[in-house]
Amino acid sequence: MSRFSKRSRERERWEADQFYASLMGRSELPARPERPVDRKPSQVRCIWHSHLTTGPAPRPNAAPSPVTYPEVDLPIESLSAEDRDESHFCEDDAPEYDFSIDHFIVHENDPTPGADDTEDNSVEMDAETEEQWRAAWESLVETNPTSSASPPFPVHCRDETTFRSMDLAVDGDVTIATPAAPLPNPTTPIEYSIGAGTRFRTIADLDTRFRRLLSPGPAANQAFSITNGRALLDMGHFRVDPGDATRFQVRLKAQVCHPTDASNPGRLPPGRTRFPIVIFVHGNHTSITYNVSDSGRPRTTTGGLTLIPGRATLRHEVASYQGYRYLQEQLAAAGVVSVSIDTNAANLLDSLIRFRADLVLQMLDHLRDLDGSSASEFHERLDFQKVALVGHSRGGDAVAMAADLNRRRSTTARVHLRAVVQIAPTDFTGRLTPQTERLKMSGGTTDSFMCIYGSHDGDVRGAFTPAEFSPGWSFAGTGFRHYDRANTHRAMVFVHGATHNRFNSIWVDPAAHEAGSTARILAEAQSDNAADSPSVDPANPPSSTFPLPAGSRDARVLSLSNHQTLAREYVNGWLLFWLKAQWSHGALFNGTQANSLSTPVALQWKFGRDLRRIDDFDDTNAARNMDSGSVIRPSFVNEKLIELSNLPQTPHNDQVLVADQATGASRVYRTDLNAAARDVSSFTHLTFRFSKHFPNVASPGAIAAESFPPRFQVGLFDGTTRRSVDQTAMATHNTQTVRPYHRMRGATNLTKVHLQTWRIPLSAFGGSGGVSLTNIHAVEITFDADANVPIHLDTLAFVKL
Amino acid sequence: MTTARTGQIEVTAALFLPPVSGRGLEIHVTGSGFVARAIPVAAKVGAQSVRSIALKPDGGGFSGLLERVPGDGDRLFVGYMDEALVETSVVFRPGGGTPVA
Repeated sequence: MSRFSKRSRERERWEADQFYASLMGRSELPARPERPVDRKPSQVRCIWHSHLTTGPAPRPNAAPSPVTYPEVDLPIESLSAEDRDESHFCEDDAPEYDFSIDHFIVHENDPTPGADDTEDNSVEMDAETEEQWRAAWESLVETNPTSSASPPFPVHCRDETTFRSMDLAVDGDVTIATPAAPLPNPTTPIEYSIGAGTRFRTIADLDTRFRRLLSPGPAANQAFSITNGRALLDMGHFRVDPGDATRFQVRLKAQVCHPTDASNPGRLPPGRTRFPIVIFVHGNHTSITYNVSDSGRPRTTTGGLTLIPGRATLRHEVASYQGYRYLQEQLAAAGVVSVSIDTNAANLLDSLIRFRADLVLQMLDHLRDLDGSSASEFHERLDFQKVALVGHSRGGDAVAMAADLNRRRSTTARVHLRAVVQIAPTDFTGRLTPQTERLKMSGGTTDSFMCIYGSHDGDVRGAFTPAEFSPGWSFAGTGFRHYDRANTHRAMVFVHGATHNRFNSIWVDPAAHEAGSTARILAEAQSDNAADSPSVDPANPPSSTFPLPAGSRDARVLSLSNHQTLAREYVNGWLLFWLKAQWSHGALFNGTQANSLSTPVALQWKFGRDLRRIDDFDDTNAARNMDSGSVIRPSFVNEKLIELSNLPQTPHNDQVLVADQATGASRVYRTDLNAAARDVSSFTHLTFRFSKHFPNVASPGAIAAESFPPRFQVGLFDGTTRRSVDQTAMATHNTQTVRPYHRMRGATNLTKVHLQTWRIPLSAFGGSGGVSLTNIHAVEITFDADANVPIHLDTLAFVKL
Repeated sequence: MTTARTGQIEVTAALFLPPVSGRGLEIHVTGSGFVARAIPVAAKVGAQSVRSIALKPDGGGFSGLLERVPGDGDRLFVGYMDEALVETSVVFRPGGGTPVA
């Protein structure tokens, strides 16, 4: 049960607004929440429900809940001065009636014409609730009465282009706090910030608010000067706003794939069916090259150099947005409309996240316009209750931000996100402070989250070698950190042999890149061999030439074809799982089914038809679990943050249970279940994330020499009987678990010692002579003195698969 | 088959100019191999980070902003934000107008 107060909500929103304000470069940050005089509430509506009959807060746009909650609507004038502080009013009255507040809505007198005065505060901000988990799946099942796959639709793909007026926010300026001499210990994170971004809307901004670029001019001491912003206007990515010549509009271009009518190709199948929507967002890649000539605008002289304002003409453009067609076609055949957005403008401007996220929201708005237009083939055929976002690389961070921004929109503009999927994502916000600045996939943001990431990612590689002025391991996190922060239905697939670029077919297609360019050479290399590391590599000095010597190739790297096969299974599998309630796809993510290539993967997951959390070890009270049950722990077992500064080679940043070397007589960690939570007979598995420290990852042999899993036992206690499962039995239930994958890049060891989710069927504890699953008092973990290494354990839960 | 360097950054020259407005200096770097990656390009002159970096579209260098005028002899380092920056031969000399490597 979640308990909210208006005060904490406003505080959270204020903190979030501050973050976005700083990203957008607003010099004046929003004031602390204090209701303005002209925005007094006209009415307060508190909605209550009991502890016993509780259900989730109704999601925006969700089907009506079958449970009716008593509601109280009161004009603000009828309240006492004290009660006008609605948080006091709600919080204080709730216990008296043995009710807790589910959510409340404040109606405000908004002087802005057309303003949405029914902004819904009911969306869960952060806390993970079992009700939310249940509701996400149940609502999906309710709206998908037939979850089995239908015969495939014929498919049609085409480009869609429009222009939208939008304020542009480009957040590309990362600042590293310059360390004082002597340099900090390499294990000390270097502070960084995503500093004042650029927010602009006028054509003049394009010339003045971006850094000018110089190229040789027609004579000595002359140079052409142009900003990438101006170049985008010259090349048609932006255009002058037809309604305001001082402003510009942004081109919104995308590849749309949809199911079609076999007898009328290009049109949607006849009928009134609304189709789920998937938005794809590619990442940062070589995008646009252009030639520069004299624009004729006034010249300036500086530093003895005459600067000639340039005019850009397009030389070459890489169509990155077409690189996911292999996924889009499969989705269309399954009855899903997908849209892959061209974000090359964001690439040319080197936006980190925000511009890309805004393009996602603009596309959703455009689709709403099409859905509402009788002239559009999509008229009343798009289902905004079933929307998913897929982002690759920086696009992965961008869909996380888009999901967060979507949550903050008015109920009329908001879509219901069933899934957010990241392919090899960057994590640029995972170390920002305060923590509210970190993008997080919570239940109020999306019903589910999935990340796929490869061991041979040569771009978002999770560098582990802190060096002078290298904040990489702080700043450039990977999907592991996104997964650590998520608290909705979720999964992460770490694919052995997968790279960064091969998930986008265009990025590794030499013909898609400009002849003679470095980008083309890299595409050739990546289409031909294992190279996926286009950057400075001290182990491969600039004398290296292409083709790379045979010794630099890695036969373990998966082919382009195999990347696409796995992306179809995992990316589209998760999408169909969460858009069409096709539960069977879940088996790929919980270890009960291998992928079709039998490619080794490391899985983390937490999803199910039902869940009961026990502990995620994230709070500050190690003596209690998440449901306030008592915890008895040996002295060598503690809740600790694991991150690179205290655990070499870990890609995580999360607080987990750490059992160091077992010593002493007591080696049992016990976490008690409350009386109301002791019947676990409706669940099928006990699950937890788990790993051990691998002190030596210098070679595959050293990793193989470690005992894995280490010796320990997990048991259930029903008040009289105990039954435990040891590591040998656990392994038989988790045959797909893997050891860390040894990966070197030059002299840098990129091996990642990560957690995996393990599951133990509850049947292993019950049966003849076993425990009573209707009366489980405690979960017990027994550590073995011979294990001799730290064991890491997290996310202890019962799930129903 | 093409013979070329595979994505290695190389800096051939740098130009320091007064900014359009405000204090500090603009730095305009010419070179090759500045590939657009997920991880941003980073640079410093001496101990000072280069801000507002804009890559040339063809990978031929970048422009950025230094909030303070570097010290005499401060060297340019470049790279990406997930690894150690590498030393270049570019050294700042005050009053040089257009110091080049």
